[in-house]
Amino acid sequence: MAAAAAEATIDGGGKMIILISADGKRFEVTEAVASQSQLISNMIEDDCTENGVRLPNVDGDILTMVVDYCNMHAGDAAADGDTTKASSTEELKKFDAELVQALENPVLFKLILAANFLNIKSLLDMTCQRVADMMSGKTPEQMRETFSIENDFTPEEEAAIRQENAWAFDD
Amino acid sequence: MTSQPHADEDGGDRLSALPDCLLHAIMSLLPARRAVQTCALSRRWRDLWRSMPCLDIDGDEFTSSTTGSVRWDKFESFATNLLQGHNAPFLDRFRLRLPSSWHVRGGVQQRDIKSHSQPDVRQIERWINRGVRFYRPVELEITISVGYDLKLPILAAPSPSPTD
Repeated sequence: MAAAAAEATIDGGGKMIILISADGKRFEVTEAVASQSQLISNMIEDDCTENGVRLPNVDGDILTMVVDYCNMHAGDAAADGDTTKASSTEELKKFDAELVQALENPVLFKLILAANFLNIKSLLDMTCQRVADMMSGKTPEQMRETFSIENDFTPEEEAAIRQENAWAFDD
Repeated sequence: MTSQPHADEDGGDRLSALPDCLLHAIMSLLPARRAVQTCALSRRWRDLWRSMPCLDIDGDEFTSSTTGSVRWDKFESFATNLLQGHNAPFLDRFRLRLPSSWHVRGGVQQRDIKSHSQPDVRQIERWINRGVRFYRPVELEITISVGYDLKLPILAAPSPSPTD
């Protein structure tokens, strides 16, 4: 966070870096925007973003979403002086809610992996919460259906595991 | 949402394919009972709950939504078994929320001999002790109703600040 501010003037004047997705798409973003990724923030500190940052395990479509998210949230991390650029809290909430609502398998999980790899805590928290919300209130059977989880227990094994942990199941 | 065939990478179980640390992060957002129930999903999930880094024991999960009565026998059995079977060396968060209707019932009936529908205060003390002393959680949240004679462990904090 502290690293983001230093020399960059937030609006337009910030130093730009290039992010390159697994499929070769290039995204030009300010350092302030990119620094929301702890991974990239560290790279900026270590001065190794000169030739672009290759992200071999993030696809272009996912990186598009990540960059959108970071652009939208750049106001959070940046100095609080700039009220024109920083998105309003209301706007941000709406943006986040819409983003997260629209997330489905498999994009949701690709985004989780990307947020984890890039180390963007707020995005990781939000996407993990989405999965937890999708699990909550569901029985194991319903969870299997929601996430296409294959039940690889034999009937005997499943009965045994439910018996062993009967204290966690209903009645 | 048609059933047209997807490319292999678009279908399938991407949740179970996440690394343990991410599954733990997700499970940590669930009440403990729901988290433990994932053990029945598949082999991948069978023992994941035993090492999850946050425990959220929520008594309201054992409160009947229709009658509002608390099923203490279930609650006690759950918390005791959970703390016995869970074996992470430490926790990021330990949260114990006793059923919110405890004070209503217990306040009147505290003198009663313990039955299956009454909380065992010593038992609750053992859970708290385990949660605090064994796991040394980074974050601790215990919600209890006032008026109960619980002996709480002394926290090794420099200046204990009552949070509830």
